[in-house]
Amino acid sequence: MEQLDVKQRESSIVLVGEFDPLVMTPHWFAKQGMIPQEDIDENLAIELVYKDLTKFSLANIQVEIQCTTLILRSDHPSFDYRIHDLALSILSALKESKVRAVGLNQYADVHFDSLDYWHSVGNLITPKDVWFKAIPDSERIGMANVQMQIMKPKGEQGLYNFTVGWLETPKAIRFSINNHYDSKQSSSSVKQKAGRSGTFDPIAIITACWQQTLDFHEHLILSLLSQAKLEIK
Amino acid sequence: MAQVNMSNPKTALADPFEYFLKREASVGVRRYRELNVVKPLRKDVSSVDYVPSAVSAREVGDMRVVRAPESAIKKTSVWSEINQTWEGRVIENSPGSREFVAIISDKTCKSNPDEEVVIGYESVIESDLDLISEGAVFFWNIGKYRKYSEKSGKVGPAVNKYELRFRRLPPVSAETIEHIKTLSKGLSKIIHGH
Repeated sequence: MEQLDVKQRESSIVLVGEFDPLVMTPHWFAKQGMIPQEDIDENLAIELVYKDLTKFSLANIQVEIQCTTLILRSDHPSFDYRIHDLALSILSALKESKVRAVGLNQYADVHFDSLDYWHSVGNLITPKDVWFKAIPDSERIGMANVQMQIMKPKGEQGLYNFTVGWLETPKAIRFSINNHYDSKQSSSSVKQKAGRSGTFDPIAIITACWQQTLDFHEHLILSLLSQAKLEIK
Repeated sequence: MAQVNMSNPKTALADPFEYFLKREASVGVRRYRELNVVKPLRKDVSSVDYVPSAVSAREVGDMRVVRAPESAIKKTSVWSEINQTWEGRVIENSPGSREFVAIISDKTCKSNPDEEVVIGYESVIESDLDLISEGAVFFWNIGKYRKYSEKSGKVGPAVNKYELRFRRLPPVSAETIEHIKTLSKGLSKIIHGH
């Protein structure tokens, strides 16, 4: 299998609900046992603690709490488990947070060893013939940003938003995925399967779907790249 | 057919400010004030993060000079490189001899076989000692770490470091476990069905 040359990446978990940024300070996290005291002593950088926003970072981890949104970010795969554990601990400690949507996200900036390979990805995803037929006088037509919405197989909750976009860095493409779950989504099949009333369960969603989302993203990128490689003339 | 390129076409739309300024100059319009074009310095820095400073009074006209505020953000220590990561599971804990036995799996090179290791309590941070028990899962990272110094206000040079951290997972109800199993089955089909 091809090895991806990823220069920069970020994974994030986003919870939409009701949060109190003034309560959720780094020391609250430490008191709850979610963050070890050693991290508070050595790795903590507080950016802001305010009624509308609390923002702080630990080594390679960022935490951002707004009144309606909570975002946990990790910039290295070796720390993805920490944002997963933090999200579950927060949901477990704050049952009153009324989380109504969960986003499991990742972006990866993949670099290519040749321009031809790089162009072939754009040509594969956005064939140019249709555009040149519509605007024959154009000297150049190229892909800038494409977002695909991928419905999951029947019976599965949520959908994937998959984006492919160019970067200013030469021979680089940003691939992003957003695995979105919403309490409003119909989950009748989950009702039947789980034998429960189709409850929106963010803890179950994150536990079951976090690693799979990251794996699925890698699978998608590798699949596109292997097809693009075949397109190189 | 024209050559297809994924790079950004150099059109007016690609950089409207620059286009506007060039156009103004080309038609001989005399300018009293210049637009201060804000461009991100690096791709990972947004224009919001970058506050341009005024070069001359002429450039800003009658606008007041707004200096970039001094950052109140404390930098943080950071792992600049991770050479290897293992995921481990405790199979035997011996508090008396202050050590535990674990099976570790290489997450960096997944083809490497699992190994059984004995780890001393001294390798575990104080806050994690209570988490050591049979079945507990931990991550073990080895890499380059850059420590932030309060004294100098800078992040220091990269030094070799290892870090062993136990997972901090809340207890999960039986009902949620059932829900997880259901969701996992479907997802496995999505990923491995391809």
